[in-house]
Amino acid sequence: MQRFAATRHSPGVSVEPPDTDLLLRSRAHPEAFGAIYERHARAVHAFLARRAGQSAAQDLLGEVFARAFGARTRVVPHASGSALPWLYGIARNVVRAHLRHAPAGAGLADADLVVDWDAVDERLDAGALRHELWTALSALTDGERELLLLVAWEGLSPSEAASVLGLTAGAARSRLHRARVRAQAALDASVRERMDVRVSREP
Amino acid sequence: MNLDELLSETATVAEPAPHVLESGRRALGSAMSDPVDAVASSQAAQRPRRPQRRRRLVLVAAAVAAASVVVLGPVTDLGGGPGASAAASQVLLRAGAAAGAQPGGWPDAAYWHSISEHRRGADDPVQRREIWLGHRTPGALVDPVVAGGAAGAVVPLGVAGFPAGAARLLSWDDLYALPTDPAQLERNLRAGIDGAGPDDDTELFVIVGDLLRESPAPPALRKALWEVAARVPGVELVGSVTDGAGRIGVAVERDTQRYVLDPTDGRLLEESNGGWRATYLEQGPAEGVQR
Repeated sequence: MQRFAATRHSPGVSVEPPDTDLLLRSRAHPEAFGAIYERHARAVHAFLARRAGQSAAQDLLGEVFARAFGARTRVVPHASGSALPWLYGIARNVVRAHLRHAPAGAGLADADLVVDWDAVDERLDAGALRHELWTALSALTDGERELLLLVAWEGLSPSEAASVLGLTAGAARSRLHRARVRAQAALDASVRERMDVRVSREP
Repeated sequence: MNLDELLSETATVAEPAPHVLESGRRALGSAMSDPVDAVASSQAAQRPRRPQRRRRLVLVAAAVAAASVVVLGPVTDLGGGPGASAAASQVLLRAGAAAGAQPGGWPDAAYWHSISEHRRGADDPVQRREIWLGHRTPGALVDPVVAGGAAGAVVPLGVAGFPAGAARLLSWDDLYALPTDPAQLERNLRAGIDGAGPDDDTELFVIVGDLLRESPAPPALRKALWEVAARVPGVELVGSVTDGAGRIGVAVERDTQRYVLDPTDGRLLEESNGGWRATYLEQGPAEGVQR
Protein backbone atom coordinates (compact mmCIF):
# COMPACT_ATOMS: atom_id res chain seq x y z
CA MET A 1 0.00 0.00 0.00
CA GLN A 2 1.38 3.36 -0.92
CA ARG A 3 0.09 6.37 0.80
CA PHE A 4 -0.14 9.51 -1.24
CA ALA A 5 2.65 8.33 -3.45
CA ALA A 6 2.95 11.06 -6.02
CA THR A 7 3.64 9.76 -9.48
CA ARG A 8 6.15 11.20 -11.85
CA HIS A 9 5.10 14.34 -13.55
CA SER A 10 6.26 16.46 -16.41
CA PRO A 11 8.46 19.41 -15.52
CA GLY A 12 6.58 22.33 -14.05
CA VAL A 13 5.01 24.81 -16.38
CA SER A 14 4.35 27.49 -13.80
CA VAL A 15 6.56 29.06 -11.18
CA GLU A 16 7.79 26.37 -8.81
CA PRO A 17 7.21 26.93 -5.13
CA PRO A 18 10.36 27.06 -3.02
CA ASP A 19 11.18 23.98 -0.97
CA THR A 20 10.22 25.77 2.22
CA ASP A 21 6.69 26.05 0.89
CA LEU A 22 6.58 22.37 -0.06
CA LEU A 23 7.98 21.37 3.33
CA LEU A 24 5.41 23.51 5.10
CA ARG A 25 2.71 21.94 2.97
CA SER A 26 4.06 18.44 3.51
CA ARG A 27 3.45 19.01 7.20
CA ALA A 28 -0.26 19.29 6.51
CA HIS A 29 -0.35 17.37 3.24
CA PRO A 30 2.31 14.62 3.35
CA GLU A 31 1.90 13.85 -0.35
CA ALA A 32 3.57 17.19 -1.09
CA PHE A 33 6.79 15.50 -0.03
CA GLY A 34 6.63 13.54 -3.28
CA ALA A 35 7.39 16.81 -5.05
CA ILE A 36 10.53 17.22 -2.92
CA TYR A 37 11.63 13.80 -4.17
CA GLU A 38 10.99 14.61 -7.81
CA ARG A 39 12.89 17.84 -7.42
CA HIS A 40 15.95 16.59 -5.58
CA ALA A 41 16.33 12.83 -6.11
CA ARG A 42 18.96 13.36 -8.84
CA ALA A 43 21.07 15.71 -6.73
CA VAL A 44 20.91 13.41 -3.71
CA HIS A 45 21.79 10.47 -5.93
CA ALA A 46 24.82 12.36 -7.24
CA PHE A 47 25.88 13.13 -3.66
CA LEU A 48 25.66 9.45 -2.78
CA ALA A 49 27.40 8.31 -5.95
CA ARG A 50 30.30 10.75 -5.48
CA ARG A 51 30.93 9.64 -1.95
CA ALA A 52 29.91 6.00 -1.84
CA GLY A 53 29.87 4.81 -5.46
CA GLN A 54 27.10 4.12 -7.97
CA SER A 55 25.95 0.84 -6.55
CA ALA A 56 25.67 2.13 -2.97
CA ALA A 57 23.89 5.24 -4.27
CA GLN A 58 21.28 3.03 -5.84
CA ASP A 59 20.70 1.27 -2.51
CA LEU A 60 20.73 4.36 -0.33
CA LEU A 61 18.66 6.86 -2.34
CA GLY A 62 15.30 5.67 -1.04
CA GLU A 63 16.57 5.50 2.51
CA VAL A 64 17.63 9.14 2.48
CA PHE A 65 14.16 10.24 1.43
CA ALA A 66 12.37 7.84 3.77
CA ARG A 67 14.34 9.32 6.65
CA ALA A 68 13.75 12.83 5.40
CA PHE A 69 10.00 12.16 5.23
CA GLY A 70 10.03 10.96 8.84
CA ALA A 71 11.95 14.07 9.86
CA ARG A 72 10.00 16.57 7.79
CA THR A 73 8.28 18.05 10.83
CA ARG A 74 11.64 18.82 12.38
CA VAL A 75 13.32 20.52 9.47
CA VAL A 76 14.34 24.15 9.59
CA PRO A 77 15.10 24.89 5.95
CA HIS A 78 18.07 27.05 5.04
CA ALA A 79 17.36 30.73 4.46
CA SER A 80 18.04 30.15 0.74
CA GLY A 81 14.74 28.25 0.59
CA SER A 82 16.47 25.08 -0.61
CA ALA A 83 15.90 21.74 1.10
CA LEU A 84 19.19 20.42 -0.29
CA PRO A 85 21.45 21.36 2.63
CA TRP A 86 19.03 19.50 4.89
CA LEU A 87 18.81 16.51 2.53
CA TYR A 88 22.62 16.36 2.23
CA GLY A 89 22.84 16.39 6.03
CA ILE A 90 20.61 13.32 6.13
CA ALA A 91 22.50 11.76 3.21
CA ARG A 92 25.79 12.17 5.11
CA ASN A 93 24.34 10.26 8.03
CA VAL A 94 23.05 7.55 5.73
CA VAL A 95 26.46 7.20 4.05
CA ARG A 96 28.16 7.14 7.44
CA ALA A 97 25.89 4.35 8.66
CA HIS A 98 26.43 2.52 5.37
CA LEU A 99 30.22 2.70 5.73
CA ARG A 100 30.09 1.46 9.31
CA HIS A 101 28.31 -1.64 8.12
CA ALA A 102 30.38 -2.01 5.01
CA PRO A 103 32.78 -4.96 4.79
CA ALA A 104 36.22 -4.52 6.30
CA GLY A 105 38.60 -2.78 3.98
CA ALA A 106 36.00 -0.37 2.67
CA GLY A 107 36.70 3.29 3.18
CA LEU A 108 36.26 4.52 6.70
CA ALA A 109 34.36 7.61 7.58
CA ASP A 110 35.20 9.89 10.44
CA ALA A 111 32.91 12.34 12.16
CA ASP A 112 33.36 15.21 9.73
CA LEU A 113 34.23 13.73 6.39
CA VAL A 114 31.89 11.14 4.98
CA VAL A 115 33.53 9.65 1.92
CA ASP A 116 34.24 6.08 0.91
CA TRP A 117 37.67 6.61 -0.64
CA ASP A 118 37.68 3.16 -2.20
CA ALA A 119 34.53 4.07 -4.07
CA VAL A 120 36.02 7.39 -5.11
CA ASP A 121 39.13 5.60 -6.37
CA GLU A 122 37.00 3.21 -8.32
CA ARG A 123 35.02 6.04 -9.84
CA LEU A 124 38.09 8.03 -10.81
CA ASP A 125 39.84 5.23 -12.60
CA ALA A 126 41.90 7.77 -14.50
CA GLY A 127 45.06 7.51 -12.41
CA ALA A 128 46.18 11.11 -12.70
CA LEU A 129 42.92 12.58 -11.43
CA ARG A 130 42.85 10.21 -8.52
CA HIS A 131 46.38 11.08 -7.52
CA GLU A 132 45.76 14.80 -7.81
CA LEU A 133 42.57 14.68 -5.78
CA TRP A 134 44.39 12.77 -3.06
CA THR A 135 47.21 15.27 -3.11
CA ALA A 136 44.90 18.27 -2.85
CA LEU A 137 42.60 16.86 -0.18
CA SER A 138 45.28 15.29 1.98
CA ALA A 139 46.54 18.79 2.75
CA LEU A 140 43.25 19.54 4.51
CA THR A 141 41.61 18.62 7.77
CA ASP A 142 38.53 16.41 7.52
CA GLY A 143 36.23 19.33 8.29
CA GLU A 144 37.86 21.44 5.57
CA ARG A 145 37.57 18.62 3.03
CA GLU A 146 33.89 18.15 3.69
CA LEU A 147 33.24 21.87 3.41
CA LEU A 148 35.21 22.12 0.18
CA LEU A 149 33.42 19.12 -1.33
CA LEU A 150 29.94 20.33 -0.33
CA VAL A 151 30.68 23.56 -2.19
CA ALA A 152 32.71 22.19 -5.11
CA TRP A 153 31.01 18.85 -5.73
CA GLU A 154 27.50 19.52 -4.49
CA GLY A 155 27.31 23.16 -5.52
CA LEU A 156 26.05 24.48 -2.21
CA SER A 157 26.74 28.07 -1.27
CA PRO A 158 29.27 28.47 1.57
CA SER A 159 26.41 29.48 3.84
CA GLU A 160 24.37 26.40 2.89
CA ALA A 161 27.38 24.14 3.40
CA ALA A 162 27.88 25.78 6.79
CA SER A 163 24.40 24.77 7.84
CA VAL A 164 25.07 21.13 6.90
CA LEU A 165 28.13 21.11 9.14
CA GLY A 166 26.71 23.21 11.95
CA LEU A 167 29.08 26.13 11.33
CA THR A 168 28.36 29.81 11.11
CA ALA A 169 28.45 31.21 7.58
CA GLY A 170 31.40 33.42 8.47
CA ALA A 171 33.43 30.56 9.91
CA ALA A 172 32.66 28.46 6.83
CA ARG A 173 33.78 31.19 4.45
CA SER A 174 37.15 31.71 6.14
CA ARG A 175 37.70 27.97 6.54
CA LEU A 176 36.85 27.47 2.88
CA HIS A 177 39.30 30.14 1.83
CA ARG A 178 42.10 28.58 3.86
CA ALA A 179 41.23 25.16 2.48
CA ARG A 180 41.39 26.35 -1.13
CA VAL A 181 44.75 28.04 -0.62
CA ARG A 182 46.28 24.99 1.04
CA ALA A 183 44.84 22.50 -1.44
CA GLN A 184 46.10 24.53 -4.40
CA ALA A 185 49.53 24.87 -2.75
CA ALA A 186 49.67 21.11 -2.28
CA LEU A 187 48.83 20.60 -5.95
CA ASP A 188 51.51 23.05 -7.04
CA ALA A 189 54.08 21.47 -4.75
CA SER A 190 53.32 18.03 -6.12
CA VAL A 191 53.77 19.25 -9.70
CA ARG A 192 57.14 20.78 -8.74
CA GLU A 193 58.15 17.58 -7.01
CA ARG A 194 57.40 15.48 -10.07
CA MET A 195 59.28 17.88 -12.28
CA ASP A 196 62.25 17.75 -9.90
CA VAL A 197 62.18 13.98 -10.00
CA ARG A 198 62.14 14.05 -13.76
CA VAL A 199 64.98 16.57 -13.90
CA SER A 200 67.14 14.62 -11.45
CA ARG A 201 66.63 11.42 -13.45
CA GLU A 202 68.02 12.94 -16.57
CA PRO A 203 71.52 11.73 -17.22
CA MET B 1 46.46 21.49 -12.07
CA ASN B 2 44.01 24.14 -11.05
CA LEU B 3 42.02 23.13 -7.96
CA ASP B 4 38.65 24.19 -9.35
CA GLU B 5 39.18 22.19 -12.54
CA LEU B 6 40.22 19.19 -10.52
CA LEU B 7 37.19 19.37 -8.26
CA SER B 8 34.83 19.90 -11.14
CA GLU B 9 36.27 16.96 -13.10
CA THR B 10 36.11 14.66 -10.10
CA ALA B 11 32.51 15.66 -9.40
CA THR B 12 31.21 13.96 -12.52
CA VAL B 13 28.90 11.02 -11.86
CA ALA B 14 26.39 9.23 -14.05
CA GLU B 15 22.73 10.20 -13.92
CA PRO B 16 20.60 7.65 -12.05
CA ALA B 17 18.85 5.16 -14.31
CA PRO B 18 15.04 5.38 -14.35
CA HIS B 19 14.73 2.17 -12.35
CA VAL B 20 16.95 3.65 -9.62
CA LEU B 21 14.70 6.70 -9.32
CA GLU B 22 11.67 4.44 -9.36
CA SER B 23 13.00 2.28 -6.55
CA GLY B 24 13.76 5.39 -4.46
CA ARG B 25 10.24 6.58 -5.13
CA ARG B 26 8.88 3.25 -3.92
CA ALA B 27 10.97 3.43 -0.72
CA LEU B 28 9.60 6.90 -0.04
CA GLY B 29 6.10 5.70 -0.81
CA SER B 30 6.32 2.92 1.72
CA ALA B 31 7.75 5.32 4.32
CA MET B 32 4.72 7.52 3.66
CA SER B 33 2.39 4.59 4.14
CA ASP B 34 4.13 3.48 7.30
CA PRO B 35 5.87 6.42 8.91
CA VAL B 36 6.31 4.56 12.18
CA ASP B 37 8.83 2.20 10.60
CA ALA B 38 10.41 4.96 8.61
CA VAL B 39 10.95 7.07 11.68
CA ALA B 40 12.06 4.19 13.86
CA SER B 41 14.68 3.16 11.33
CA SER B 42 15.92 6.68 10.96
CA GLN B 43 16.31 7.78 14.55
CA ALA B 44 20.08 7.71 14.33
CA ALA B 45 20.06 10.01 11.36
CA GLN B 46 17.95 12.78 12.76
CA ARG B 47 19.03 15.97 14.35
CA PRO B 48 19.06 15.57 18.12
CA ARG B 49 15.63 15.27 19.61
CA ARG B 50 14.33 17.78 22.05
CA PRO B 51 15.69 17.20 25.54
CA GLN B 52 13.74 14.61 27.46
CA ARG B 53 13.51 16.93 30.45
CA ARG B 54 11.22 19.27 28.61
CA ARG B 55 9.07 16.35 27.56
CA ARG B 56 8.58 15.11 31.10
CA LEU B 57 7.62 18.58 32.26
CA VAL B 58 5.01 18.76 29.56
CA LEU B 59 3.62 15.38 30.49
CA VAL B 60 3.40 16.40 34.14
CA ALA B 61 1.61 19.57 33.12
CA ALA B 62 -0.81 17.54 31.04
CA ALA B 63 -1.45 15.19 33.92
CA VAL B 64 -2.14 18.11 36.24
CA ALA B 65 -4.52 19.66 33.74
CA ALA B 66 -6.35 16.38 33.35
CA ALA B 67 -6.62 15.89 37.09
CA SER B 68 -8.03 19.36 37.64
CA VAL B 69 -10.77 18.64 35.15
CA VAL B 70 -11.73 15.47 36.93
CA VAL B 71 -11.97 17.22 40.26
CA LEU B 72 -13.40 20.56 39.29
CA GLY B 73 -15.20 19.91 36.05
CA PRO B 74 -14.66 21.48 32.64
CA VAL B 75 -15.71 24.95 33.79
CA THR B 76 -12.14 25.51 34.96
CA ASP B 77 -11.10 25.52 31.32
CA LEU B 78 -12.76 28.88 30.91
CA GLY B 79 -10.49 30.44 33.46
CA GLY B 80 -7.44 30.42 31.19
CA GLY B 81 -4.90 28.93 33.55
CA PRO B 82 -2.46 26.64 31.76
CA GLY B 83 -4.60 26.40 28.61
CA ALA B 84 -5.64 28.87 25.94
CA SER B 85 -6.53 32.42 26.95
CA ALA B 86 -10.01 32.73 28.45
CA ALA B 87 -11.36 34.48 25.37
CA ALA B 88 -9.84 31.98 22.94
CA SER B 89 -10.97 29.10 25.09
CA GLN B 90 -14.53 30.37 25.12
CA VAL B 91 -14.61 30.61 21.32
CA LEU B 92 -13.07 27.16 20.90
CA LEU B 93 -15.44 25.52 23.34
CA ARG B 94 -18.42 27.19 21.67
CA ALA B 95 -17.22 26.04 18.24
CA GLY B 96 -16.71 22.57 19.67
CA ALA B 97 -20.22 22.47 21.05
CA ALA B 98 -21.61 23.62 17.69
CA ALA B 99 -19.57 20.97 15.85
CA GLY B 100 -20.66 18.28 18.28
CA ALA B 101 -24.30 19.18 17.78
CA GLN B 102 -24.13 18.03 14.15
CA PRO B 103 -25.61 14.60 13.50
CA GLY B 104 -23.74 11.32 13.19
CA GLY B 105 -20.56 10.88 11.23
CA TRP B 106 -19.28 9.09 8.17
CA PRO B 107 -17.87 5.79 9.42
CA ASP B 108 -18.89 3.91 6.26
CA ALA B 109 -18.40 6.48 3.50
CA ALA B 110 -16.12 5.44 0.64
CA TYR B 111 -14.39 8.79 0.09
CA TRP B 112 -14.02 12.17 1.69
CA HIS B 113 -14.05 14.94 -0.86
CA SER B 114 -12.59 18.38 -0.12
CA ILE B 115 -12.07 21.51 -2.16
CA SER B 116 -9.73 24.20 -0.92
CA GLU B 117 -7.68 27.14 -2.08
CA HIS B 118 -4.05 27.65 -1.18
CA ARG B 119 -1.81 30.63 -1.33
CA ARG B 120 1.93 30.47 -0.71
CA GLY B 121 2.43 34.08 0.28
CA ALA B 122 0.43 37.29 0.27
CA ASP B 123 1.59 38.19 -3.26
CA ASP B 124 1.24 34.73 -4.76
CA PRO B 125 -1.62 33.38 -6.84
CA VAL B 126 -4.36 31.37 -5.17
CA GLN B 127 -4.33 27.75 -6.30
CA ARG B 128 -7.22 25.36 -6.09
CA ARG B 129 -6.86 21.92 -4.57
CA GLU B 130 -9.33 19.10 -4.74
CA ILE B 131 -8.82 15.80 -2.95
CA TRP B 132 -10.64 12.50 -2.64
CA LEU B 133 -9.46 10.59 0.40
CA GLY B 134 -10.18 6.89 0.06
CA HIS B 135 -11.50 5.07 3.10
CA ARG B 136 -10.34 1.63 1.92
CA THR B 137 -9.43 2.31 -1.69
CA PRO B 138 -6.91 4.65 -3.35
CA GLY B 139 -7.81 8.32 -3.55
CA ALA B 140 -6.90 11.11 -5.93
CA LEU B 141 -5.59 14.64 -5.75
CA VAL B 142 -5.71 17.59 -8.10
CA ASP B 143 -3.24 20.17 -6.86
CA PRO B 144 -0.89 22.06 -9.19
CA VAL B 145 1.70 22.48 -6.44
CA VAL B 146 1.99 18.77 -5.79
CA ALA B 147 1.73 17.99 -9.51
CA GLY B 148 4.79 20.15 -10.15
CA GLY B 149 2.84 23.02 -11.68
CA ALA B 150 0.77 20.92 -14.06
CA ALA B 151 -2.72 22.39 -13.77
CA GLY B 152 -5.49 19.78 -13.72
CA ALA B 153 -3.13 16.81 -13.44
CA VAL B 154 -4.55 14.04 -11.25
CA VAL B 155 -2.08 12.69 -8.69
CA PRO B 156 -3.06 9.18 -7.60
CA LEU B 157 -3.08 8.71 -3.84
CA GLY B 158 -3.01 5.64 -1.67
CA VAL B 159 -5.57 4.83 1.00
CA ALA B 160 -6.16 7.86 3.24
CA GLY B 161 -4.01 8.43 6.31
CA PHE B 162 -4.16 11.29 8.75
CA PRO B 163 -0.91 12.52 10.32
CA ALA B 164 -0.92 12.90 14.09
CA GLY B 165 2.63 13.49 15.25
CA ALA B 166 5.96 12.48 13.77
CA ALA B 167 5.50 8.75 13.98
CA ARG B 168 1.79 8.35 13.75
CA LEU B 169 -0.56 8.04 10.84
CA LEU B 170 -4.21 7.33 11.59
CA SER B 171 -6.53 5.48 9.27
CA TRP B 172 -10.10 6.56 8.62
CA ASP B 173 -11.30 3.92 11.09
CA ASP B 174 -8.70 5.09 13.65
CA LEU B 175 -10.33 8.52 13.58
CA TYR B 176 -13.58 6.94 14.67
CA ALA B 177 -11.83 5.07 17.49
CA LEU B 178 -10.12 8.11 19.04
CA PRO B 179 -11.42 9.13 22.48
CA THR B 180 -13.85 12.04 22.39
CA ASP B 181 -13.30 13.08 25.97
CA PRO B 182 -10.97 16.10 25.67
CA ALA B 183 -8.63 15.07 28.50
CA GLN B 184 -8.29 11.55 27.11
CA LEU B 185 -7.90 12.82 23.57
CA GLU B 186 -5.22 15.27 24.65
CA ARG B 187 -3.30 12.50 26.41
CA ASN B 188 -3.67 10.26 23.41
CA LEU B 189 -2.45 12.91 20.95
CA ARG B 190 0.41 14.10 23.16
CA ALA B 191 1.64 10.52 23.49
CA GLY B 192 1.94 10.32 19.69
CA ILE B 193 3.92 13.54 19.27
CA ASP B 194 7.17 11.85 20.24
CA GLY B 195 9.52 14.74 19.60
CA ALA B 196 7.86 16.16 16.47
CA GLY B 197 7.64 19.90 16.04
CA PRO B 198 9.52 22.55 17.99
CA ASP B 199 7.73 21.62 21.23
CA ASP B 200 4.74 19.56 22.31
CA ASP B 201 2.27 22.41 22.72
CA THR B 202 3.02 23.82 19.28
CA GLU B 203 2.75 20.36 17.80
CA LEU B 204 -0.51 19.56 19.57
CA PHE B 205 -2.10 22.74 18.24
CA VAL B 206 -0.99 21.79 14.73
CA ILE B 207 -2.28 18.23 15.09
CA VAL B 208 -5.73 19.62 15.87
CA GLY B 209 -5.63 21.16 12.40
CA ASP B 210 -4.17 17.97 10.90
CA LEU B 211 -7.21 16.02 12.04
CA LEU B 212 -9.79 18.65 11.09
CA ARG B 213 -8.71 19.65 7.60
CA GLU B 214 -9.66 17.36 4.72
CA SER B 215 -10.90 14.85 7.25
CA PRO B 216 -14.01 12.73 7.81
CA ALA B 217 -13.62 13.19 11.59
CA PRO B 218 -17.07 12.67 13.16
CA PRO B 219 -18.78 15.58 14.94
CA ALA B 220 -17.94 14.15 18.37
CA LEU B 221 -14.23 14.14 17.47
CA ARG B 222 -14.40 17.63 15.97
CA LYS B 223 -15.90 18.83 19.23
CA ALA B 224 -13.19 17.13 21.25
CA LEU B 225 -10.44 18.52 18.97
CA TRP B 226 -11.55 22.10 19.50
CA GLU B 227 -11.74 21.36 23.22
CA VAL B 228 -8.17 20.08 23.10
CA ALA B 229 -7.14 23.28 21.31
CA ALA B 230 -8.72 25.21 24.19
CA ARG B 231 -6.38 23.39 26.55
CA VAL B 232 -3.18 24.35 24.72
CA PRO B 233 -1.22 27.09 26.50
CA GLY B 234 -0.52 30.19 24.45
CA VAL B 235 -3.58 30.12 22.21
CA GLU B 236 -4.99 33.62 21.81
CA LEU B 237 -8.20 34.99 20.37
CA VAL B 238 -7.62 37.16 17.30
CA GLY B 239 -11.30 38.00 16.87
CA SER B 240 -13.66 38.25 13.96
CA VAL B 241 -12.02 38.00 10.53
CA THR B 242 -13.06 37.61 6.91
CA ASP B 243 -11.45 34.59 5.25
CA GLY B 244 -10.10 34.23 1.73
CA ALA B 245 -13.54 33.24 0.46
CA GLY B 246 -15.19 36.28 2.04
CA ARG B 247 -16.77 34.33 4.88
CA ILE B 248 -16.84 35.76 8.36
CA GLY B 249 -15.32 33.63 11.06
CA VAL B 250 -13.45 33.85 14.33
CA ALA B 251 -9.69 33.43 14.40
CA VAL B 252 -7.56 31.90 17.14
CA GLU B 253 -3.81 31.85 16.95
CA ARG B 254 -0.76 30.32 18.58
CA ASP B 255 2.58 31.75 17.46
CA THR B 256 2.21 31.90 13.69
CA GLN B 257 -0.38 29.14 13.32
CA ARG B 258 -3.88 30.55 12.91
CA TYR B 259 -7.24 28.82 12.57
CA VAL B 260 -10.36 30.58 11.39
CA LEU B 261 -13.46 28.76 12.46
CA ASP B 262 -17.16 29.18 12.01
CA PRO B 263 -18.54 29.46 15.54
CA THR B 264 -22.03 28.50 14.40
CA ASP B 265 -21.10 25.00 13.24
CA GLY B 266 -17.50 24.54 14.34
CA ARG B 267 -16.16 24.20 10.79
CA LEU B 268 -12.51 24.96 10.07
CA LEU B 269 -12.85 27.68 7.44
CA GLU B 270 -9.24 28.63 6.96
CA GLU B 271 -5.77 28.28 8.40
CA SER B 272 -2.60 30.22 7.85
CA ASN B 273 0.99 30.18 8.94
CA GLY B 274 3.13 33.14 7.96
CA GLY B 275 2.21 33.95 4.37
CA TRP B 276 0.86 30.47 3.65
CA ARG B 277 -2.92 30.25 3.70
CA ALA B 278 -5.39 27.45 3.05
CA THR B 279 -9.08 28.18 2.71
CA TYR B 280 -11.39 25.18 2.98
CA LEU B 281 -14.35 25.75 0.71
CA GLU B 282 -16.33 22.56 0.98
CA GLN B 283 -15.97 19.02 2.15
CA GLY B 284 -18.15 16.00 2.56
CA PRO B 285 -18.59 12.28 1.90
CA ALA B 286 -18.47 10.99 -1.68
CA GLU B 287 -19.16 7.66 -3.32
CA GLY B 288 -16.37 7.86 -5.84
CA VAL B 289 -13.72 10.01 -7.46
CA GLN B 290 -15.59 12.20 -9.88
CA ARG B 291 -14.52 15.34 -11.62
